[in-house]
Amino acid sequence: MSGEIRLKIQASHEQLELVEQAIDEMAELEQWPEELVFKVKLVVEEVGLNIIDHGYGNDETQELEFRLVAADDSVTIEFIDEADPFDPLTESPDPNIDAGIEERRIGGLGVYLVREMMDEVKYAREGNRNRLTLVTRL
Amino acid sequence: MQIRTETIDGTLIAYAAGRIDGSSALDFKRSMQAVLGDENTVVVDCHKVTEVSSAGLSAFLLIARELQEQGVKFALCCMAPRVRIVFEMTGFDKIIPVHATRDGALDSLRD
Repeated sequence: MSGEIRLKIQASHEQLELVEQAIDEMAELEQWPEELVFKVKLVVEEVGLNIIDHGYGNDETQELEFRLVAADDSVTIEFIDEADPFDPLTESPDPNIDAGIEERRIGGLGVYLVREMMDEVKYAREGNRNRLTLVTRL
Repeated sequence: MQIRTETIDGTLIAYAAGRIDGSSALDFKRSMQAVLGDENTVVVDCHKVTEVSSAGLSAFLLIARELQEQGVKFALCCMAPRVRIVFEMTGFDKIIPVHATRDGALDSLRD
């Protein structure tokens, strides 16, 4: 398996769908297993919406960069944005997955799912940019 | 979003379908609210649900809360493995019962 996607998009839900379309196209071309497509797209939705809705507060004049590298043994996904610093590894506490129906909080689930699904999650603040790198091993 | 429903022995069965994610979760919640009637027991059959993201989970949680407040018993069934895994990873299967089959869900809601 090989291939690379690089996209710079505006911070909107519509533009995030372009990223998902690009993933679908590569997955079809490279015959990715269905479970991998599902995992990668879920992660892209969770991280992408987090940046667009929370990082940028739905300001569509902002941009974010998306990069995906598919190799024989792994798929690496990278998001780069210029929103305020946000480290999902330390700033988003795990949801209490044992809480009852009344106590369960709505927030934090997306980041938690991403951390659970990916084998590696790295965050770096580089100048005024957040770089989130996610790796799933095949 | 159109949600097909039927009633079996007084239980409302709602057939959810498609991807329940950031772009459809609100629509899903509203569509569910629109089909809920006077039934005291509700099953959401998820066999046609292809994916659920955290936004989708939030919609299920809000529906479950509303139903609980109204004293309505609620269960889910028939999830594809990739949907079920999202419920299991987040512990949502502990707050909303998830059954493998529709009959299992119906049995669980009977007194």
